[in-house]
Amino acid sequence: MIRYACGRLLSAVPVLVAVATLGFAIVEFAPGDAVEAWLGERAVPPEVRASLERAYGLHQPPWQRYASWLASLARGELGWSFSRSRPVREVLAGALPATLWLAGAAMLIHLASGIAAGLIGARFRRRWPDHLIQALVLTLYGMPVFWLGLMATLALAYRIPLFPPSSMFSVGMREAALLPRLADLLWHVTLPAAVLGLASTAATARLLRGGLLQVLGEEFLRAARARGAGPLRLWLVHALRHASIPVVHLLGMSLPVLVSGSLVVEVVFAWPGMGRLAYEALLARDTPLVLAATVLSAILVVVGNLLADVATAGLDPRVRVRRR
Amino acid sequence: MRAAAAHHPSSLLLAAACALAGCEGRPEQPPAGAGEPRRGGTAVLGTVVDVDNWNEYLSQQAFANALHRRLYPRLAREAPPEPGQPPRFEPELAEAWSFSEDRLALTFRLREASWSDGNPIQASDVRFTWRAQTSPEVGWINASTKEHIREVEARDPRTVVFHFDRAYPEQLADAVTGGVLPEHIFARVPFARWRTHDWSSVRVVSGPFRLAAYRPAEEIVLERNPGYYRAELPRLDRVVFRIVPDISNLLTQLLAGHLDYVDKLPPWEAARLERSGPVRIVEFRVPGFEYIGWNHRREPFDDPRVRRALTLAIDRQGLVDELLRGYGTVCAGPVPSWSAAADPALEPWPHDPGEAERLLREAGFARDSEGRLVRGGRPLALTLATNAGNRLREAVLVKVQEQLRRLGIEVQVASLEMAAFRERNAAGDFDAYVGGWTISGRALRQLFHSQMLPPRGANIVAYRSPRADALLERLDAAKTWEQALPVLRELQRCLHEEQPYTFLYEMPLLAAVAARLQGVSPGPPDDPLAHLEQAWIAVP
Repeated sequence: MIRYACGRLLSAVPVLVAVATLGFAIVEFAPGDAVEAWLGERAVPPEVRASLERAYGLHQPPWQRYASWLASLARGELGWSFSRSRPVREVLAGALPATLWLAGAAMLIHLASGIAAGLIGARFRRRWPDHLIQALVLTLYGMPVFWLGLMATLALAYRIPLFPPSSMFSVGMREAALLPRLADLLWHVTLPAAVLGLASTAATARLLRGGLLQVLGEEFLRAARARGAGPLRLWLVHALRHASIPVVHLLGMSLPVLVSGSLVVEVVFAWPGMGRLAYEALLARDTPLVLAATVLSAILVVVGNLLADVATAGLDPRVRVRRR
Repeated sequence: MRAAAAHHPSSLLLAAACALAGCEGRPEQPPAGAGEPRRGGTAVLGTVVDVDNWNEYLSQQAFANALHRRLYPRLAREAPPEPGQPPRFEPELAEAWSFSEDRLALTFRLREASWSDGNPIQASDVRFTWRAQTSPEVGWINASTKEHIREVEARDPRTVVFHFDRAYPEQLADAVTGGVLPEHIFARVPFARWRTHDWSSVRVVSGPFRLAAYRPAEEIVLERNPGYYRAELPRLDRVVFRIVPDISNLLTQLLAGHLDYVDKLPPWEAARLERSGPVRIVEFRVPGFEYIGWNHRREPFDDPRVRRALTLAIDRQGLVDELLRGYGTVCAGPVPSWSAAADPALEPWPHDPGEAERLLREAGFARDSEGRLVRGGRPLALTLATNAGNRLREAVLVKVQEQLRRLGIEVQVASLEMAAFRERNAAGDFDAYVGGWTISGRALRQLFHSQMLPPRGANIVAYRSPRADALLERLDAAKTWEQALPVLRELQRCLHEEQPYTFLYEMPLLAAVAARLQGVSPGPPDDPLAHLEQAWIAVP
């Protein structure tokens, strides 16, 4: 299994290089450049502009900058973020934990709500709880995430102030002791994670419901029932295990989306994570930061797929990794 | 658009003029029970942007600059304005200054003050700062304010002399532009490496506050500098800036009581809050204006009669009333109407579609059978563009399109991504666009001199007027405020008549302030957070 995983990771290297090249080309060929983006609406003398270009190596031709960046990457250096005035490594290190907290909490909420909705839908097939759940998850799925976020903020942070409207910590709580700090973080992450997790519940719920309905008539379930398995064990262990295989694949693919695609939620809730970072870097034409964020996202795709495959192998006895 | 950094030596007294008048605003009415100013407490402010760099000379951002000024004061700062008078400056790190007889040397006497690490503030710090400001390796965007300063001499630890290559009205303003840096900290990094150095860890300051914590994209915490030379200030113990990229979220937080202050409000939000919110709105005057730039390279916009007709056809007061909700003033020209340099005799062109049509007929246009204005068989048609995402300017496009269409002018509107918008404008590939300038310093030459076409200057519309050029040259030659003022007023009349732009309106910076935060009142127009020094938290 380890050899298989290493092989998969190594085979992803050309994909990562291709992604980085494409990312570089997209930033490079967009109108304007980093200096213009940085200057915004200001007009500056040409000598100031030349000085800025020299300072960040932007006076070099694109291929040379790209080659330098690849060489730096090989040495483990990610370069300098000129929009954040800090090393890219530090910028990513600052944003990644925030994103992992948000994505982790969203994934938990997503899983819990998806499994619950799928189970209820399959158990009460074509009865009112099924219809109600389907209507609910599809409504959440159909809403634009920014609107859902704004409505959640207005309802649960302003009208009924149960949660803070934004940010990762309350004022002064960053310096608090571990437990109060953790409690504050959980309080802050709940609303954005709920929006992010619930908005995509429909896919998991419907996949699971369909999968459960498919396996309910299978022989192995009848056999399990004949062996004396109770309804709870039958549903949660035997049926759910089989029906969740496509869901695991979906979750594996969702990992990078949750990490880098949570932009809207991060903006609405002022969450200092990777999605917002990548978006702002793109607007600023901050090529080193864009490339680093892109490559990180691509790594997550690879890892997410790998984890999904490994989990599938664990869940489905029919799937085996061929050993030499 | 900003013409902030693009100064030219002798163009005008705009900076001074702006400084002169910016301190009026709606007077703050403390709520009942607000009480006397007191020390202590934490104010929480909201901002939609993060600081781009903690080194003032590497930053281009107004918000960052407002924070830098809390950490690193200047030698002197603009004083509250006195109408009709030349600008005055108040001492900050310098306690006194004087000019030599020929006005080529300006001597500052530094006050006895220390950096927050206990080292004294010395003349060598001022000289070091000037070297940084003018270093090509640093590439400060306002370096042109120093171009007439030949040398800065540290005569003794508390005396510093600025030597100029010529006398001109803005010498003092130029000398004091930019905060003084501690040489013993900043000189550790060579200028060539400044742009790739992280300055957020520097904690040695001389201003009322010091940086206590910086969490990028999340929070900035300033705390009182106990070593500040004005021992009674600041009143607040801490100021926390919450970085929230969405203005709606900021306002929700303000209304929920999590924030004390939010600025850069869209006018419609300010109007809504003023009507119903438990907050007060404070207006900060901004030295700038919004305008429509007509491309003089293309017919018929090269004809001043056509440009004036287009101005007369647009109901600018209607734009102020409807889009700005009344928070603004129709402007007659580029010099802020509230500044001492503004020509009081100059009135904005009125909304007069009849006169507009008469002028267009004079320029050779006539209505065809479909009611369109045509000349030589070609209809008067144009594309009016702006930068995408600016809701106000996009609304202006639609209003202007509607008003010009009523006169028989075909207008297509376009919202372009900022980089594409700038690129197109710089290449002169446009008919007309809606833009804006925030003017800090002497920017008129950059905007209106015929030699200042991009990339050298900011004359995007390619305005070429021998009369305006001559006036700008005369402004350059003026040595004193008294000499410059009449020329500046004549230049305003010239621009008013020739209408290189349709000057739309001046718009204030709007801030919503919670009742518990007191002492917030507009300061100098180029320093919207100057009030933090005086602000205090009211007793609940």
